[in-house]
Amino acid sequence: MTDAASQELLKKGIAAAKAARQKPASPEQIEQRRRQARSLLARVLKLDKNNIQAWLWLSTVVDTPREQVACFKNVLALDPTNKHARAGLARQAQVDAPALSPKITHLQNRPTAPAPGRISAKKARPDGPGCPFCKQAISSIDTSCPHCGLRLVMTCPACGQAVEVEHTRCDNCGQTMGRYQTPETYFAGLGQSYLKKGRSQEAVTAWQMVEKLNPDFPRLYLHLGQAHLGQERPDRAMASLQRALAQNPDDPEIHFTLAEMMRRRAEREKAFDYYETVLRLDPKHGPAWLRVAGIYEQVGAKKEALKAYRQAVKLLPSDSEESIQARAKLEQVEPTLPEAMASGWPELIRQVTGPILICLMAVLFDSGLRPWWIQLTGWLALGLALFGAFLFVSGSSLPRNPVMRLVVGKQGLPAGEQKSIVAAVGLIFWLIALGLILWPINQSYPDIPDLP
Amino acid sequence: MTLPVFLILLSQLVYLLPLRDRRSRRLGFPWMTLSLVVINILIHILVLIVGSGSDEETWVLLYPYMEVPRLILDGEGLGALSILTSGFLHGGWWHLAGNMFILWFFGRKVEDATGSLRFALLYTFCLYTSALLSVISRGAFTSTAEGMIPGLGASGAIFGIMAAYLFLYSDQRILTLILPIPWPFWIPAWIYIVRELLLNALVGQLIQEGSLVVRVNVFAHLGGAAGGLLFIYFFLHPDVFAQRR
Repeated sequence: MTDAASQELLKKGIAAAKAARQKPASPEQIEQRRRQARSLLARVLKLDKNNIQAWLWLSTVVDTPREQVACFKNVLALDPTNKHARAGLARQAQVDAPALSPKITHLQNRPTAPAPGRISAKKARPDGPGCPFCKQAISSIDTSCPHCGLRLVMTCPACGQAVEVEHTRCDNCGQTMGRYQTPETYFAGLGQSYLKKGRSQEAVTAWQMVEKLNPDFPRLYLHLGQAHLGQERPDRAMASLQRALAQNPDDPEIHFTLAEMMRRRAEREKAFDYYETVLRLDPKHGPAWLRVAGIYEQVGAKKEALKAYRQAVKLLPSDSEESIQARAKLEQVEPTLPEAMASGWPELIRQVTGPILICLMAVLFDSGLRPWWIQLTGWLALGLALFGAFLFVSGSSLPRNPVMRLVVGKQGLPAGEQKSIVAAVGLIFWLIALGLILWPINQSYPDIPDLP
Repeated sequence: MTLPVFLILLSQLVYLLPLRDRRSRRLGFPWMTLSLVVINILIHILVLIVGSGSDEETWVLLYPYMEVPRLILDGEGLGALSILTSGFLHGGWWHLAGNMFILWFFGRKVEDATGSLRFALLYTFCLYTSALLSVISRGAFTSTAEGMIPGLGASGAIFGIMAAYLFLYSDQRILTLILPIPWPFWIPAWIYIVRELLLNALVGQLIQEGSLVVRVNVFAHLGGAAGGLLFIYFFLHPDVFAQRR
């Protein structure tokens, strides 16, 4: 691995260690970030065991004071004058004495040593001229700029990796973090990412920052409303959405969000009205079709529900969760054959008769409309056509027909690829049979009369 | 002038051009109808290219592929295959355009009730039923010379599709331009289709009586329509069949 890669790992490790100190965060989140930082810094040290910075930052995320002491000792072995390591060891010596008391041993599991940066809290970040946005001096342990409020270290909304703000893309997963040079866009990007990941609290904070910076930001109140809605705060969501609607009454997304809110409140009729408005403004709004279909289904309007589900399937991206949901619903709602029909003789005979009639007509014409002229090959071809038609019908629409149940068991043909293969084989047999009938083997080329 | 002739002449004063109906689609796009239209057009273009525009050459080229009642009855020529091939041949651009317009209009709706594959089967079946009546009427009951006159065109199958439409959607209304009146009217579908069938039946009657000679194969139309009307039951999509029971 190159030095550059090692530096990159170190950067990520430091960012994760800083993120572990960020508030507010749940104990699980802190522990996760600490684990991440430990792992990254350990990888750096595996590549370069003389990396002082890595040892110092590792001391902030290790689990036990003994490990912390080991980190400081390693630093001092490399640089006996390092004041961070010295101060850390001194502090540890103070903690060690009462640590013998059983009452406070549980504290040993907490990180007690401060980050190296805290010792020189007023010092600017070593790897930059200050805040990347306002350029004011900041401490190396600051997680947001005390002057302009820009967040300096943040967790990637997509993968949870701690990322320095200068990185406009997450190093781990490539998620675009926004651009800190244009703060409202930056926060808007963050807000959208948080919203997508369902982290509504952070999304609200991000969109509130956008509001502070530029109250005229496009669709600001729509997104703020969506974030509030995610937080289950309908009153705030409604206020934001009303403002959004006042700014842009023809935005289908605003009506859709309002409809979603009404749906959550179980106000079905109001929700339906809003969905209808969405579809009037944007007839290709797949999610609105899906919701409308759901409402139709609830009220028993099966035909309309079917139509709406079909529209949803047509318009939603095929790999989206909503599309999968719409397809599943469509299968549920779509009329299925009654049991008596699906497993009875009459329907099997009806479906097989169509293809057989064609072959029968062809054989009849081939014999000059004289059935007694039909040759053995003609009858054999008819038999093959019957078999092919039966296989096709069994594989395509009647997998549990009486013959199939007799042959393969009570359940008939199992669902899946097998059915399609049986249908395809059946179709091929039928086509071969028709080909055999139509192929003019014994027939002569006619004398062509003069043009009348 | 007899009453049938008078009625036929009267009906020729107006031309009904269907524009649209109110029925929405149940399934997706009618691919089979479109494919049939495209295949018919491509074959017509191919015939024009290969025949080099000469009637004589085209006649020699196409004769074996046309439906010749006498040859079929005598077991000569392409036999049953010629019925299929003749269904894709047309006598000119107007013949083709008229047939394809009606196929596109009614075929889409019928395909919606049968599904694509069953629609293709129904279309083929109607070609055969149209040929059945045509061959019997022109081959068995006329002179040998008349029996050697070939027939071509998709209209037999298209009449079958129209009749199937009538069976399926008899309560539908069709927005129709009744030429020469310049604005359209919503008329019941059965009026449109029954008019066409009656007209063909009248002309057929007059041909049998020997009082009318036309180049239109009305027996093929009637045979196709009978096939579509009487046998659509066997080609319906199972879901549609279950709903209609």
